[in-house]
Amino acid sequence: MFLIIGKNDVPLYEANLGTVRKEIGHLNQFIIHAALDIVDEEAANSPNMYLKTVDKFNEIYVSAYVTAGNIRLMLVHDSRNEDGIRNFFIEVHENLIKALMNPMFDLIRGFSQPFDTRVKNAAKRFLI
Amino acid sequence: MEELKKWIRSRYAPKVLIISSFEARAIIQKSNLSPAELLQPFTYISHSFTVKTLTSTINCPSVKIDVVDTLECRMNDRILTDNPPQISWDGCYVHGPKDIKQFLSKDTTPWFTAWQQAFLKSLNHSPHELIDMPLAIVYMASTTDLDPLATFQTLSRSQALPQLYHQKIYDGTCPKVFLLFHDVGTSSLKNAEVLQIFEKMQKSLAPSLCHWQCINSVTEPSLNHWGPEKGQSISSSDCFQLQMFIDELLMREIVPYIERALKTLDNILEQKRRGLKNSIKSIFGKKNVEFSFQYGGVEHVTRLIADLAFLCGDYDLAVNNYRSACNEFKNLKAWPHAASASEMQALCVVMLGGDNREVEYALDTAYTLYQRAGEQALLLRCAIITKYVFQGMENYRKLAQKLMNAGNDAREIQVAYPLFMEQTALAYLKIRPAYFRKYAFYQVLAGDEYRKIQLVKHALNCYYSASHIYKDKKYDFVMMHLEHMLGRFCYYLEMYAEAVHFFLSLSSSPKLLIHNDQHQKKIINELISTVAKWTSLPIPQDYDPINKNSIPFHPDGKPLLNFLLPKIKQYSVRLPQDKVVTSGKDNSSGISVTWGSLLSQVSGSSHLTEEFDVFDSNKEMKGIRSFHIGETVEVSILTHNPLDLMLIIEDVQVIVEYEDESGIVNMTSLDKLELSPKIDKTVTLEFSPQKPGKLKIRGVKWNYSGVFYGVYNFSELIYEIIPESSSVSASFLQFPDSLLHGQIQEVQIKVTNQVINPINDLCITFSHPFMFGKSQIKLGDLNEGEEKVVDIWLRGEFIGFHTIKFLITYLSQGILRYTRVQSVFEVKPSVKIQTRYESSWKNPNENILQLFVQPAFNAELSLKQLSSLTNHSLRIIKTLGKEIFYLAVKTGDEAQNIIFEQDWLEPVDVKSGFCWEVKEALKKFTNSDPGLDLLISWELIINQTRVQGHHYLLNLSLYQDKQAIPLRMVIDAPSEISHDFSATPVLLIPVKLSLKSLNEKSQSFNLEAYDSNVQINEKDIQKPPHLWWSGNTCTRFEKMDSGEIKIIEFTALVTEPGCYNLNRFCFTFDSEITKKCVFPYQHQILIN
Repeated sequence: MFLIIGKNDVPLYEANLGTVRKEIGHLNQFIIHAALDIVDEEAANSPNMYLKTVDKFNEIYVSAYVTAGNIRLMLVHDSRNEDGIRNFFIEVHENLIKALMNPMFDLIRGFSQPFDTRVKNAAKRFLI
Repeated sequence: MEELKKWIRSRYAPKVLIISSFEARAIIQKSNLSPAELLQPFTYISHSFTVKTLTSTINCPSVKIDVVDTLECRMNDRILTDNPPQISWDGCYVHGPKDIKQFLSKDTTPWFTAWQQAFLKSLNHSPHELIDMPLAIVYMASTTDLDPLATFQTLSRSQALPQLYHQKIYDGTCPKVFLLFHDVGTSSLKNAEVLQIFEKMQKSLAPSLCHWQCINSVTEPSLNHWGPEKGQSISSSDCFQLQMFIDELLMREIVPYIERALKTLDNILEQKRRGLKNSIKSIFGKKNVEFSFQYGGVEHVTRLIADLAFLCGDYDLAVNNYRSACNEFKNLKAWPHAASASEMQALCVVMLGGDNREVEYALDTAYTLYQRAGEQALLLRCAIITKYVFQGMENYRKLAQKLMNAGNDAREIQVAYPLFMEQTALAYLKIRPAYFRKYAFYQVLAGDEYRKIQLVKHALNCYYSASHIYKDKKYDFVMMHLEHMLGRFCYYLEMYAEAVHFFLSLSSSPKLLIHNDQHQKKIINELISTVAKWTSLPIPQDYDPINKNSIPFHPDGKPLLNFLLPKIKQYSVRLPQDKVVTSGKDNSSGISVTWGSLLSQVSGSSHLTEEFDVFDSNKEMKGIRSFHIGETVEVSILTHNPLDLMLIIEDVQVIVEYEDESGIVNMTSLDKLELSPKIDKTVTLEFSPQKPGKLKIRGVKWNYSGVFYGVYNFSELIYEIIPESSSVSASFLQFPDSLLHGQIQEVQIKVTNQVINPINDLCITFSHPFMFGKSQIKLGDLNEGEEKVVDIWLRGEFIGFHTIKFLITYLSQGILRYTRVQSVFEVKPSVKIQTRYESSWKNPNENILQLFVQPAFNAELSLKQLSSLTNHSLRIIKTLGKEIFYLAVKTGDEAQNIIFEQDWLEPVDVKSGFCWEVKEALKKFTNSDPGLDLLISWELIINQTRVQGHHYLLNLSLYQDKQAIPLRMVIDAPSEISHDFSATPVLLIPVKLSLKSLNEKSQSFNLEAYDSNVQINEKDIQKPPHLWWSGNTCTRFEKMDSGEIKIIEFTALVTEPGCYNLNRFCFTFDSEITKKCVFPYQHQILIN
């Protein structure tokens, strides 16, 4: 499960990338939302955008990446893969900037299909 | 930290055991008290005293003694059920960081406080520790006992002591005090007799250990120490005596006992450690010796010294002994004993104000040892102590972690997990900055676990608290889970109105659509069964405490709920005046004019302008619209089924109310509406009011499964109902769907007055006047029930779709009313016409028009008539087949019609009637430049059907380059001459030149005829043979007026055969002297 979270903790984009092998349903959203406290705290203290694994619940980890505009990229996963996750976040961040820079981008309508495809391709390349 | 120390002191107070006779308990019970409760208010000793320990003399400013009736205190299993959370739907909850301070200002989990107190109490007097060992035993008997002395002797037998004394864990040599109660209120014994018993008691036991206490001697109201309905008959003097007794007990018995015991125990310890036998035993023997924690053993003694030192406040002595005891217990693998010692060691360090890390380490050690021992209850106790210690240190981050671990580790104790998750959530909330999202998550975890152990109220409280954090944040799956659970909890707790609120919210969640049809069905069924249960109550709750609004009920007892299935995508209300009778297929691309422009042609209609703007722009009208009694209003709703299952709703109705809530409205309803998955359907409902007044259309309602009504509320729609009056209905009797361009057809409109009253000033105003030749027909008056058929001729003009609008206005009871009808039809191409219009070279007053007429499709075309509609006369010069016509057009003469065939629908004179009116209407769309207006009447035979029509060629104007040469010149000369040059070597050719001034003003110019060997301008290159002019070749024209014609004659000379250009005339105008103008064409003449 991958989430892009904007202001007021509102999810802007959500994708199931198969990074958790066990079916945990809505628990994903609970875990990611709960990890935001630590993300906010670590983002304030860390000079890096990639915050590594910020939280853990049972055997499920949460990794985070915070952009300069305080958009939080959150990934729930069950195996450790620091480099892959970092590369995934960097690629999604680049695509995110491109999507947001598009003058036709409408936050209410959400991200376009090409963005979704790019995120899923990045996940295939770096995470799975 | 002070709070923490206070808690430690109160929890680890010196204990006194009470053993009482039945009679003593009975007389104390008269005041609704137990023996321990009787003494409890007096156990706080506020004066200072000193205790001599082994190493120092401790000055105790005050002490609290804990009095207990029994050493076996069982945990109340129903403590959580008896202390449920009070659900307050509008209470103070955490929505974000701002609310936390207020939320934490009160005890948010009193059930945990109660459970914790009972739980800790149940773990007192554990066999692996001595901190709870009573330091004195008080035996109680009553003068009402048959033989008080014998009773005391019976009570004080060693067999009567609790199990822990028999196991030699507790010291049976502690001070024992005998307290004799005398019930003054009910006892028949006199004071002397009581004294006699007491003296006997003193003689037999020991005078210093015996006490006499009057009880139930109340004569005047005294200060109540026990709370309401307790201790009513205990007098002030009784209280004073009790206080004295406790004081004496402490000072005379407990303190000396502690001092004595410490010394004795220290001696025992020294003896046991120093002896050779013991040293050898400690090196070789202990490994095989089974551990027994009994009075006299080294470990027991060490622990007891530590506990006694702790109780009297010598924490240095205590911590050393606890440390030593802990190590010894560890060596003996007595894990609970070691854990308990480590736990106490941590508390000693706290009391000494030591390093927090040491406290944390000791508590961690205790926790690990309890874990190793498999003692989950003690592990939880350790976690509770840790909670207090970390709270005192304000280290909530670690506290949250430890509470979470404790909850996970003590899974055997069912209530532990939810209780500790709840406390973990609170700990997260106390971190600065607060982890409020983690708080929400752990509340949900706690709630889920409460649900599993049937503590539904607790679960509801947890889920509801958490829901505020997730609200409006688009975590739809989370919110769905919470709402589903909340709905179920409320249902279980018989809070049906609240359950319905949550299920309704759940059913409208957009993420419900992601789930499969089975899940969707489950949710809907749960909602239905909840509503059914709710409405089956004798008086169902009609208030939603969460939304804080009342729930309306239908007269049939079913509630009206904001149920959003099916989804209402769109709704519209059509008043009678909004309805338009439309003929033909509606086509939005059709050429259309606004209703407002038609209204502007009707006098006295300005008050309707705003209403007509609504028709033209679909804007909402600001004012209140009105309609008449008995007229039918249509409400259309576009319904959509977003689910994956079939939705069936019944009895769909509009909710209409008069403002004063009285009045009858005739209404139609839709009995059943079936919506397949993901399908849109439009439903139109009607109603007609029967009373004047203000009417509100609130929305629509429908019956769902016969259990409740779903309601969709419209935005405020108020209408004024006015008394009934006659209206006019209109319809087309015949109106074509399509016409050929130029085709003419008759159409009929029927207008009918209703039977209520006569109407006046009936007038039909319509768009597209160029098709009808007019835009308005006045019909006058119409009686009740009378109808009129209006015939209008229509001609197809402008190829494409047209929406023709008819506005029928009339006065009904003096009020201007209207009816609208419209028709959409298509104009198709019929004939193609090309024209070429040029000046004649034969006559200065004549033009030549070349007309090329062709059918636009495969049909037979024949021209019937050509007519000039302006001041021009027409004459056929030549025809080429049936298609090309050359016409001479002359200005000024009387117009003529050229008739090809006689049978024609229109009179031959087209200057009156329909053709003329249409032409005038069309003229408005063209520019005002005067020219020839030509009417071409034609007939097309298409598949043996004859179609007749007109085409108008308007404003045909001759191309006149007035700027170049403002003259028209006609050369009249023969075009071919045969001449014998051998007979006459010179040929004279007469050339007549007609000149017509085209200038608007009079002009003067010179005319010069040039020989062909003279070059007029650069382009003029003439080759031999040449021609010459004879006679005067130069003429001056003075002030030639506009349209004036002058004729001049010249004679040309040629000397040999050939082809010559006679146009050798050059004009020089006064206004432009330097410029010579020549007409740019050749007038050739062939000479043989």
